Amino acid sequence: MHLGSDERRANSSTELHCDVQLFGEMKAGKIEALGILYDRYASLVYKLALRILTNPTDAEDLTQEVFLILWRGDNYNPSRGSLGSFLTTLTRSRAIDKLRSSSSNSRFLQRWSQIAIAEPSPSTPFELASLAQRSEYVRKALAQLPEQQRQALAMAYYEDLSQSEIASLLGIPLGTIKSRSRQGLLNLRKKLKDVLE
Amino acid sequence: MMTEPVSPEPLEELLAGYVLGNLSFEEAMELDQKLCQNPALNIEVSHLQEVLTVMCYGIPEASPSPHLRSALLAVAKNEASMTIFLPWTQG
Repeated sequence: MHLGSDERRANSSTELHCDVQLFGEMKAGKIEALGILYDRYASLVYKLALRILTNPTDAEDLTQEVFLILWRGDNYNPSRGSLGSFLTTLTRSRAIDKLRSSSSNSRFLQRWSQIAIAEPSPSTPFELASLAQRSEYVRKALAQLPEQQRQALAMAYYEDLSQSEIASLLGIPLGTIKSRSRQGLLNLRKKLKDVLE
Repeated sequence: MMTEPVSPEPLEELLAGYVLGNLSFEEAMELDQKLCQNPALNIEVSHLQEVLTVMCYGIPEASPSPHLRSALLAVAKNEASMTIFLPWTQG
């Protein structure tokens, strides 16, 4: 069934409550449930993959891979966090792995793949918001950061570069880059605190 | 009562650096000690990790091509049918 965009938005908050139920149905073999989860999260997974890999074909391949992992495995545990967090953490980790294997170079970001998925409380305004509202929250918060902090944070998160590589690319001292990305993260947290905690 | 002065700003910076993966060896040692002394700091770490995780919601919209959905469902369906019929997956 196809909903109009307004109708979809109106229903999205209710729909988001059903991720766990849909995940259960999908695990029981219902392919329609995978389709609905794909409709909800494909764009988020794809845009993150594209941001890191920069190539649309690679980003689509990775999007398919991520949803097949969800379909196949026992990787996602709803009691440990939201499906959105799981999918984005998985996407980022896989995307960076791909960059790394293509450059056959071990990078500092390796520790990323070991970081546990954050465990958001399911009742935060962020978790209850539609995907469009979540994007709005984050965009507004990012827009309030000083440009240099936003840039340092984005480079640290999306690009497979070491901090020293970033520093030399931008022609600024390593300590400054570290400090900007840390301050950026702390500021972003302050801006999002009301909806995330 | 603990009287040791706490300076929250450098500690916050260390926590952010930890989440971003850009601590120096000395900073990592220092934070490790603080985390041992005060396990409640792990809650702060998880809040910062979550902030980083949700950052991707801010990426400008982009969608995969429409054929990807049908391609994915076809592969998934195929895998499901293979799982059912493979003899070594039975009881």
